[in-house]
Amino acid sequence: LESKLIAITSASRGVLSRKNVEEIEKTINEYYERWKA
Amino acid sequence: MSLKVELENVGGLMHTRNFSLERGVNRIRAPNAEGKTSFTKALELLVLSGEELRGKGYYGNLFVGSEEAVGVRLSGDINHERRFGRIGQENLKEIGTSSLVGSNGDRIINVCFAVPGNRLIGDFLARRGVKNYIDLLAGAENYEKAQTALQEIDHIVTTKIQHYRDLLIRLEEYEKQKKEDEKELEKLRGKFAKKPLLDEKEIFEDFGRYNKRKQELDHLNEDIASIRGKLQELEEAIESAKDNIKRYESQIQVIKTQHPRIDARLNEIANEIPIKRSDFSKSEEAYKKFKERQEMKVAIDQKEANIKRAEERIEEFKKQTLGVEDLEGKYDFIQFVKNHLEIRKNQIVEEIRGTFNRQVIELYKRLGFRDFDNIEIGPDFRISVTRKKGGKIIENFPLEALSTSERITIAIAFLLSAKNEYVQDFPFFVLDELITSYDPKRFDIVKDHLKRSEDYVVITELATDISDVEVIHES
Repeated sequence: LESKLIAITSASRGVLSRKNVEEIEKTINEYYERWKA
Repeated sequence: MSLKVELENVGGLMHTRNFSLERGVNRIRAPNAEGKTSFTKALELLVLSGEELRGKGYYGNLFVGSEEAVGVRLSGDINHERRFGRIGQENLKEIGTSSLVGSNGDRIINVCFAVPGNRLIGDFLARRGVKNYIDLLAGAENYEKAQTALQEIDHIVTTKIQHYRDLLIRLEEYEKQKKEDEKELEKLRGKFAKKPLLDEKEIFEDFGRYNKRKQELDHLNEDIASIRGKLQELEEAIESAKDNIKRYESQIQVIKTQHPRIDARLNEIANEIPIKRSDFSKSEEAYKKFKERQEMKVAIDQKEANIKRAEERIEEFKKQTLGVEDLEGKYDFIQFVKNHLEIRKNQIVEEIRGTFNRQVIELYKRLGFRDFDNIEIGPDFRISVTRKKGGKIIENFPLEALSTSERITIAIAFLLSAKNEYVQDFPFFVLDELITSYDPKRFDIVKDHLKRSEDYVVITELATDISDVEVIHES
């Protein structure tokens, strides 16, 4: 999860865009589902 | 093996220019404004991604030629090409090529390019600590950006949880109200069961009948009042019509004969009134009871409807609040990830601090300098040195108090340590003349070391004895 999040943030310069935040949220949701299981 | 560097339309180096670099030190000599900076910037372009180039107008300004595309091509020892197109007047974009190594061009540049724009050199010249540089190497900014994004997501989740909690409170209120209504309903039903069942039709007919009688009575009362009024008028007329008495005698006679009959009728009516009144109040009493029962039934229906509506709302709220536990779990997970990122960021930063604390003094000594016995970054990221002065050992001597050339030498030891540790695959180490000019003697020592330790060392030099760029190899 850490490397996925850092890959998203390091691919964008400056402040994260709405799209980046959505991508992070999607990743968090995916890992949360796995974490629950 | 030598390395051919071909530059196409790069800034001061117009059209296609070829240079040959050898392993060891390569001195790029040129008069002012003849392409030294363009050459080092071209090497930077080997590693910068399109994303990293965005907004950095000064790279665009390097390529002032009329051509729409610029290129940097390596061949020989290394084969690699990067091409760029313009975006507007200032910015560049990659054209179908990729970085020479890795993906973090900004980090590579701040490690392998000892130029005035290097962040560590900038901080050392400004007598600042090494925290910003370690954060850069650690990619702390990316951790912080991820944490900020999580904070935003966290806020959304918290808002949803709050909404659900509000719904739960309302749900509780509805359930409480429902229970109270159910209790009241039970009481009402008990009372209602005790009320005798009445014949609705009979009550209405009875009530109608007596209502009619009441109207009749009202009319009779009006008649009586009217007749009494007339009598009054006639008596007054008798009194006032003394002069006409004779003329009216016959009429008086008629009235006098009528008077006893009216009196008799009045007496009859007067006798009827109490009977009718009694009948009417009986009917009124029955109707009142009937109305009470009707109202009670309406209240029961109302309560039943309330309970049904509450049940529907409870059901609907239960559906809506179904996800609240999951959201609370997600909130906990986000906190866990946020904490983890914070711990990891600090861990990486501490690892880099530890690496520098082990390696920088070694590299400093390997470069051939003996002024300091130790160079240490403290927990507050301030740098101090241990130095001998007049036979005494001085510990914790702050970096800020050292001379510029001493600070620059330590900065180069930091850069070489970072290169060894984090950017081993980038074959260039660039030194700008502004950096080397602080102390040429020290620089010669550094250069001797770099010849042995680095693949291609590129050093820019101002030359007044030539009119174009030249490369001098020192193996």
